[in-house]
Amino acid sequence: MMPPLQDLGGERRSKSRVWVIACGNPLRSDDGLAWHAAEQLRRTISAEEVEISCVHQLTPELAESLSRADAVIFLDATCNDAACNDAVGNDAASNHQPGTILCKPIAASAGPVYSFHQFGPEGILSLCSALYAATPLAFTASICGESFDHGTTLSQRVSDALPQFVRTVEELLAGLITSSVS
Amino acid sequence: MPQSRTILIDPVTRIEGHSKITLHLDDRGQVEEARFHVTQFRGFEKLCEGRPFSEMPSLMARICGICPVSHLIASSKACDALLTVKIPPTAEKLRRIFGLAQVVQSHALSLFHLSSPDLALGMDADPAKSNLFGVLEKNPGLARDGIALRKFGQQIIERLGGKRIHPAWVVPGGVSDPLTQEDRDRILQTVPEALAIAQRSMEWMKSTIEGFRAEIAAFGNFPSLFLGIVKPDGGLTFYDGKLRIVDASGHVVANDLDPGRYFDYIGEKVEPWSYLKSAYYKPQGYPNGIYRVGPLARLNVADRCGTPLADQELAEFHELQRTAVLSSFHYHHARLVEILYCVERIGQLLNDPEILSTHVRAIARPNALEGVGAAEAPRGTLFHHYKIDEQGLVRWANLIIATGQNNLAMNRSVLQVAKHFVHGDRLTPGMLNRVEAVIRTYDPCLSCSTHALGQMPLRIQLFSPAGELLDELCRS
Repeated sequence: MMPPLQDLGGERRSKSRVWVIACGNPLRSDDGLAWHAAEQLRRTISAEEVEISCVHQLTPELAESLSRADAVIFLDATCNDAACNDAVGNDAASNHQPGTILCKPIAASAGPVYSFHQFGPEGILSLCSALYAATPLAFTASICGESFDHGTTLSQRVSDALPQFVRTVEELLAGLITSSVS
Repeated sequence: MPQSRTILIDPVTRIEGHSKITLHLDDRGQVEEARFHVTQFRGFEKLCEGRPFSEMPSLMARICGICPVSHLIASSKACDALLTVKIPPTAEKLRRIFGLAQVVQSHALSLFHLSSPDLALGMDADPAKSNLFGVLEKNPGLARDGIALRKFGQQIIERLGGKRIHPAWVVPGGVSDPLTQEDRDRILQTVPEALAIAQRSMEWMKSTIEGFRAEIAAFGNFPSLFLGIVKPDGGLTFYDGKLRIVDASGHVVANDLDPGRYFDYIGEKVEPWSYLKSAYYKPQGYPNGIYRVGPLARLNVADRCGTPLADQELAEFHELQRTAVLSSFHYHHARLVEILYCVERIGQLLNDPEILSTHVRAIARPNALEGVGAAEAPRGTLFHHYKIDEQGLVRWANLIIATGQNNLAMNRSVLQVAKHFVHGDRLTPGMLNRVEAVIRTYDPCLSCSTHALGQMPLRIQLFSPAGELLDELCRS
């Protein structure tokens, strides 16, 4: 059992330049992998420029806070089920095996809006752009999950992939901090 | 003979939970009966049996991701009754702030995220544009205000409760942690902007509803009772007080009713076509005892708000009709009056010198085997009623949720809208949206009231007198 995770929600407590938003449900096994990654990143990232938050879902309120960031990395789980990915706006993971790490830049896109429950990263960026005339550099980093059943532990394959996932995000962060300072 | 067919409308509708609507036609093709079916089931009343009573607030908060705070408060009040403790005054004030913040964020969600597309874009707007992005294109300031107002409420909940969804800060006997000066000051800094937004939104609402006369006339515009909790002086409250019931003419039918004795005057009827029970006022029987709860009802039963800006708006609201304000379309307007009140009241409570006291919890063991907790949730009056055994384990629980209390009224409203706007044996998207929109005025939360998880695909079915399915519109 991992230690209790702190949910900082959508409120940014400082003017950090890079915002890591871990999204998922820590009570649904691999769906909470981003929270696990966030916990590890909090231990290793000390840069003042970086803020790490955990949220259950992406909501419109995040757009306002996002407008003050230079860059954002959305951490999340994906699944290898096409219908599931269509529903949440993911497009890349359908053919990947559990444990596969994906990291890519994204751009604002309103896309289809089904409900306020279903904003994807691109939708939040689109809101941010339209309402606050700001578009931070944005990336998604994800691991393809295996089990989304009730539970607070990760599947073996996702658990095995987590250290590499954290390193990938750390490297991305290092590059972003360097570029934003310079 | 008309063939049954299915028309898919994408995207999904804007309410919380699973439901469908059936419209039954007479032999002249006119709508004769309409039913709002809630097709999901959760069953929290049953699954909590055998759990320690002290777990109830946290368990009950899981009923809903939108209004967990309301369940937390009502549940903790029921547990206070089991402990028979008087909680510290500061704890009560902090609970009040928590509840008010919940009302602001939930009302902002309902009005700005879910219903503003109807109001800003019109009832006949392209369904694909009837969402927050559509509002953003038409009126970006409105969308921005909605987001900011919801964030205001969410941040208060996060500051007090540690997180925005399912916080466990309210506990039997009080709250778990006092308010820090830093958090008090940070919240107070945000009050002026929230007030300005609430006032600005009120002006938008007043100018906008002028364009909806047909909907005002036909959206749940019928006589009914209205129920809500009021302070001893008849003032608006969300935390504590006595029940008051007024009739359609605005006269008080019952006053000073003890919420702890709700079962003496509120009955619940189970219908075979819905998982949502229908509550009614017992003295008038079923279904004549139809009553409404929530913002419209609260403003109909309250004599005053008790804060300056909201009192001005309440007086104006009461001018909408000489009797009680009957049209459910005015739920939207009522929500804004309540938002204004909540923001003002949060400011007052935070400036109370006692608010930073560290004495915020009374400790006791159970001293009673039965307890009722009642509070005003965003959608209306909420009752939690528990019975425990000598070991403190829950043996029985009954939850009466606002959406259930509005069930009869929602059904009658759907019928009224259908009779007014649906003609013939075919449905149009505009008809569908009006039928949906009248339900949205009540802001039903079906997850709360049936004790299911997920989206809310709305299905409307049109039946002939012989029971033949003539048409069906489905948003999935």
